Amino acid sequence: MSSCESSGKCKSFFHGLFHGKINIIFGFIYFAFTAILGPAVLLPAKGDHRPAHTQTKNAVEDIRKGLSSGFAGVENPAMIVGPAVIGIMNHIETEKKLGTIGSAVHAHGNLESLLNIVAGVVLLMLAIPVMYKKILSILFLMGAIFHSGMLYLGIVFGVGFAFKFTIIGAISIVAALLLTGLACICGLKERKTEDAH
Amino acid sequence: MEAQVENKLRYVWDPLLRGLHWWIALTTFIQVGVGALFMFFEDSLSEGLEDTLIDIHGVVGYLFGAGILVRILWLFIGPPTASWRDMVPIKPPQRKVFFDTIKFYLSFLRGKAPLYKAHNTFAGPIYLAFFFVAALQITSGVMLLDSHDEGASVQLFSFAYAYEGGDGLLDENNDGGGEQDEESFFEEIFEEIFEEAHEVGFFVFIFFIFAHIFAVLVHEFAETHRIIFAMFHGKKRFTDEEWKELEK
Repeated sequence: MSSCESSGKCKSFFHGLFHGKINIIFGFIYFAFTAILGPAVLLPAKGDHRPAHTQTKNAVEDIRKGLSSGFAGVENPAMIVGPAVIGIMNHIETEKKLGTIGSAVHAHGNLESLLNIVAGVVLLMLAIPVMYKKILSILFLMGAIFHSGMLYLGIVFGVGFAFKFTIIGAISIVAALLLTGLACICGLKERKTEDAH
Repeated sequence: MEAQVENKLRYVWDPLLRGLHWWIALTTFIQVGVGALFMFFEDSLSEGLEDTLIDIHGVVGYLFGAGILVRILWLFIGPPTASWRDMVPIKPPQRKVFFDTIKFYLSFLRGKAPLYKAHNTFAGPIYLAFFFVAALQITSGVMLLDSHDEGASVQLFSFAYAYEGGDGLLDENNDGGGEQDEESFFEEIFEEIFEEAHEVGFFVFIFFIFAHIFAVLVHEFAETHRIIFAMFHGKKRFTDEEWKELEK
């Protein structure tokens, strides 16, 4: 028997891990991960597209000038209009990825890590059978891993097939939220406090 | 004078299992109902109504999926009466129930009905098969919903729809396109496969619903355990002798 087993310390760590403790641990580590990925990946990617944005802006400015002067002295106006149109299209495409979608993944990752921390605390407080705590704990974990986790894999790391698994995370979160709500009805009890007077 | 045998209510089904049973039943009825409208009245549906029905089918589908996912997890985490071990004939007494049930059916319900506490091990594998088919229905449904380019309001969860292609932000030459032609060719083939599979699953569901309700009614009247009410309050009726035998 190892010293850890004889002292009972390892038991105290693993004991009740799925009663909410694992969600709090996972939540903090995952939050750190999402917090790092924001400035490390999303913001630099936005920065990389800044020169393209400046180029488009200049091209549109040229069109404005050309329109006010009736394109006087310009042999082929299409050569001015073309780059601006292509630039605008590229900008829209970039926004689609980095703006809405990229930020949404980051937001989902942050929110789901926070959700796990909160869920862990609530589960530890609930007076319900251990089996119910275990299934709720697993559902919250699955929700974060298969939803925002798979979105990170797909959008940030380019693993295309990961998107297909997001449904598992989505339904896990729906189930976990509904069932935790129900569990709170019967399992959340106010602790008796003594009146100071 | 013959001694009267007293039946007592004994706790069998846990609250989560009962809740999930009715959750899955309700969402199944809605899904099958909406599915039937698509299947049989597709040509007479207006475009707006079709989109609304797809939205309902999608949202209820997510709720159905949530119910099935929790039930599958509960097979492994839940109490013995909700476990997969209670459903399959792996132990000698369970195998006896399995064969006794077949004999009971073949004798047109004559003789003594087989005794079991929670799940009948003849029906158990059918329930497991139902969970498997349900998981396939959810998968194929999600794939079809993603490929449906109109009425996209239920695609909130699916970023695959908004973000076409799989080029990550970490890729150097990220143009978001990829081999689109080849992808759309495979997508079309998969879409057809998923559509066919979803339709087959629809008929399997209808068969299961009728078979389940028929079997429940048969057992309700052939036995004295009150299995329908048990799915509400969790307690089945057993005599002391029966309970002793089940607790062995």
